[in-house]
Amino acid sequence: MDMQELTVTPRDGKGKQAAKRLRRSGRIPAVLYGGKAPQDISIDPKAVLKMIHGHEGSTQLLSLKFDGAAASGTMAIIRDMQFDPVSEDLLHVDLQEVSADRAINVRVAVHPVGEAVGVRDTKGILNLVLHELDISCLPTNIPQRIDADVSELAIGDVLAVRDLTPPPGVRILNDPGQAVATVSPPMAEEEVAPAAAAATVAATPEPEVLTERKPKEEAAPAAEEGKKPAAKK
Amino acid sequence: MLMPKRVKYRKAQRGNMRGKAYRGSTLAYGEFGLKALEPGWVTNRQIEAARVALTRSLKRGGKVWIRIFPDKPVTKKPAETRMGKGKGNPEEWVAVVKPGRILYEMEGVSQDVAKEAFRTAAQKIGITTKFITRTRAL
Repeated sequence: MDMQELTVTPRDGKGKQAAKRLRRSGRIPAVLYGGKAPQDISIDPKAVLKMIHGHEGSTQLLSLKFDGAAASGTMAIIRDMQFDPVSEDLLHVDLQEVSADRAINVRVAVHPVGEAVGVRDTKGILNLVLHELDISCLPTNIPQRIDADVSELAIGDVLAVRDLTPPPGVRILNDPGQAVATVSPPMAEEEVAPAAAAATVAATPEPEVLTERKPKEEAAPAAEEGKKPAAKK
Repeated sequence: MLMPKRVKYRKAQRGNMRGKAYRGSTLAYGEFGLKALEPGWVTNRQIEAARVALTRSLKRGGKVWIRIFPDKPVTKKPAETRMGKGKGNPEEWVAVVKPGRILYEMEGVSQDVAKEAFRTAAQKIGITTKFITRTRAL
């Protein structure tokens, strides 16, 4: 796997206000952990987005170059990223320092290869159930993606994790029986007449209410039974 | 039409829709999705109309997931009724949608087909939305 270089800058100041100031200046806060002590750093979001573009769901090996330092040396991976749910701007990045001789657990994207028999011949729909796989490998062996050969799948067939062949030096951590891809039959076309649709709307029943009080007819005899012993006295 | 099978209370207060949807704001099942950009109530009729529009434009290909559920009852007072005399009767069910929420997901079709299908579906929903994919735009 080729290593990409990322320039990072140590940052001062913690908390919400400092992070907002940093984002306004065009950089984003990040943290680097896994070494001796966690370090607060800042990075250029555009550089990170450019790096991950086309590699969504996979983990990439980075070589961190501290701003001002002569050489880059720290090896790291992107462990987590936070995005704004509306604007989808990158807000924060977690970087984990790794060593070349120690295996790590990472996620890689699953890439379907080939056209399934069920899709080609019987117009089925290929459904990729598992988009990412958990793997364990050395940082230098992280694959870009794991190919899943779906060409043999007919309608109703399931490709499981045990059917995948990981690259050498890579161990898959997911349950071997877990489904990776399935081929489902084509959707049935539904033709609902407007009148019938209107009738279903009118006849929609109300849901059962769990805290609804019982009708008074049930409550009345019980009350009378309670009164009888008092009347005998 | 989507609605709960059983509920604890027949009527609910209106509530508020402050903030963004942090849960349910990423694609979980499909390759493409429709994301809400503003807060609002989406009724079960709107959800159904958009689903029908999606499946019709897809013909028989592709798979669709609905990521919202209308679990909030909305009451209405009858026409020409004076104020007071209690809260009205439940008339419809809505899903409370905050900005960032994924409304629908789709898989098994090309990006152009998915984009066109979501464009027709978005017209059935009363809030502004945008088309998203798993591959983030630069």
